[in-house]
Amino acid sequence: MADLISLFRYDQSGGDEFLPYVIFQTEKPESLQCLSPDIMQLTSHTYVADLHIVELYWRRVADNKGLKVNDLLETVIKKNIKDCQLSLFCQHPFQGLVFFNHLKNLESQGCFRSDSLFSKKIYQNMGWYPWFLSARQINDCFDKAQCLQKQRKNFSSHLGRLSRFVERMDLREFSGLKQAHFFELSRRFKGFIGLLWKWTFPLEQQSPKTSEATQTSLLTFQHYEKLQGFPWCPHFVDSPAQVSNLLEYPVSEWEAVKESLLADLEKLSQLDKVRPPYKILELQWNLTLFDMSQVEKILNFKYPLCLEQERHTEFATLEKQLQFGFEQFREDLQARDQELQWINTPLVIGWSLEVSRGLILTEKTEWLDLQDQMQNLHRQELVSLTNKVRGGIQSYQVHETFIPGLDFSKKDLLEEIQSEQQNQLLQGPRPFYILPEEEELDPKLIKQQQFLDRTSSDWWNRQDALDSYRDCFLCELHNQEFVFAYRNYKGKWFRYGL
Amino acid sequence: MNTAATLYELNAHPLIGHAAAGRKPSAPLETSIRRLNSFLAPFQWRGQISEWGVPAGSVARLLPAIVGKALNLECLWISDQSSAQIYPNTWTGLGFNLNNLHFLQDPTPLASLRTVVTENTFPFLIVDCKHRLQKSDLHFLAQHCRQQGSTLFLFRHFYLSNKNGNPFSQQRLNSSYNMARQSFQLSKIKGPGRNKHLHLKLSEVLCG
Repeated sequence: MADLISLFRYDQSGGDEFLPYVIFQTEKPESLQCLSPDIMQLTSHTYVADLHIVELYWRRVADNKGLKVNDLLETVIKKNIKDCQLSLFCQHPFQGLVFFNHLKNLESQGCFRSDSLFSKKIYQNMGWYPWFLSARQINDCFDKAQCLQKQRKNFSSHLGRLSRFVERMDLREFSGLKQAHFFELSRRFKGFIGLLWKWTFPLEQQSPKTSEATQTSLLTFQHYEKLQGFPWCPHFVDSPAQVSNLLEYPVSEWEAVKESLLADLEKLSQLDKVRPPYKILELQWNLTLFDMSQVEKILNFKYPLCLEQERHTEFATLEKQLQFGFEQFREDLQARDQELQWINTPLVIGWSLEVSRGLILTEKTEWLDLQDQMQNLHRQELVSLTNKVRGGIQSYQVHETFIPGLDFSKKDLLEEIQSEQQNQLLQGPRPFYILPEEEELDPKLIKQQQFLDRTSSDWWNRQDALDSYRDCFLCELHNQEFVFAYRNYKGKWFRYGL
Repeated sequence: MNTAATLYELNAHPLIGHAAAGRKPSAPLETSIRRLNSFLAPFQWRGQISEWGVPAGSVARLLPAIVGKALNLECLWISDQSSAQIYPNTWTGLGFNLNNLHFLQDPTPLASLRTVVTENTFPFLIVDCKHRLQKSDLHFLAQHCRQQGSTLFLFRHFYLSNKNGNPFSQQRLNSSYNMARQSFQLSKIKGPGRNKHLHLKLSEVLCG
């Protein structure tokens, strides 16, 4: 088996996909912050890091260095977590823990991936011992964090029943039960066993609807979807850097807030915890209002921000983001208290600034040093600017498909598009903006129309093939407005673009 | 001789010299529509604000977009449309390089616009907003465009008129589309060759 394990290094079958969780065994959890700020403790010396929030950053560093992101992360682990003998990249924390326990049992060493060919084969032929061990470990972990208490009631006895069932059925590998759906196990052995089963095969147990949703959803929702109900219990290595300010008089205008806030940022930047090599990923701004209620504003940074460098530019980026946050907060509060007719609704009497997430990037080679490494200086300005404007600057790419909605996507600002993608000439007028969902249009509103084209792109997805026919028109409405609309085969009109 | 020396000194002044850079003649406009080129020819785009009367939901935005493409500058399209999404395929169809075209969608774009202008990252800005700009905002934009030599297209969601002027924009144009004739009409309200009209066929514009 030891020889087989050593072959992992030569297995290139997996490796391109980004695996979002990594499990380590280390006695120094503080060193894990070199990789991600989101860490969870599974057993006394086993930790799992969630890489979702830093995926884009590590991808960018890897691109800059001409490396694969997985190779880069492996190097980062080797260099920064010195006492880590075994690490595993995986799809789900529980799946990873099962495989990790198996590898530990075999006294394996090195960096493994759950999606490589060898891993998949081993996972298929793995006995029940690592699974039961991992189940108990996870139960202990959730016991400490007081999670899923209802589902975990009488867990030991249910696990014992499952163990006896496995013996009776003579199932040597847990993959023998792979076909069983998690709700079948939930029904027989109660909820938590069902959940564990779902997490054992995270890809297979995912419903098609869920996998579609994860592709389009926001980061936080995507994170929740990928964990499939696994409660993430964050492990805090150190208390966060924080600065509080109780103002001498209440303020409600940004100009009045700004001065004190910049002084607080100055104080924050001088704290040892946030001095280089620490980089900020998330800043939490807790405002205290005149009625002693608290409002929380979270500022996220796509690219880690160095407070020391920010100090040299008089906190230009942070100031902009805090200003946007404050304006939004004012609008929200004014809308909330509209009926009360207060003159200056959001009177702020104090606040605290807390660096809630960050990365410790010790070695210069692992830090995306925009000043030194980016070939195009202008791109560096773009990255800086996107942190300073509300909503960020967006960039798009088009795809060679005629299926509406799939013919373009957002792209990363620093990504170059190949020039041959852009040689599609315009045959007729097209909308500059499209509506997220088509709206029914009353034909009486249409003054005149100009036929553009007929599409029947996704007839294979529809029960009624005729339903895919769309005659697209440019319509002039009676109010002089021009809209892009289509007429379906039933003669109904729908507006889809402006 | 004396005057020339004075002018040279003025240009060498860090502030005035910078402003003068904005007045440096820009390259002539080169779309594939000759009539459009000659119609807009005397105008210097660099460092100036051009105001376009293109009502919301008007296909007449195609004309300023084609002019923008011909300027061949890295562009930021700022929009306050929150109910609709950018459709980049139209821009690629017009021949835009998406590497040089970026978008900013913000329901209240003024604060972001100020940041973008001050940072001077983009030499060409298109502001497509219903949001009403105050005189002070226009003054700020005009001043920065002049100093930095950047080009700004301001799309107004109504047709412009001679009755209400705008001293901060050097060129004001109305662009409209006649569906029955399938042609565009471009009317100059302010700028070199004012009160002139240009009619262009849709097929001409799409190839431009």
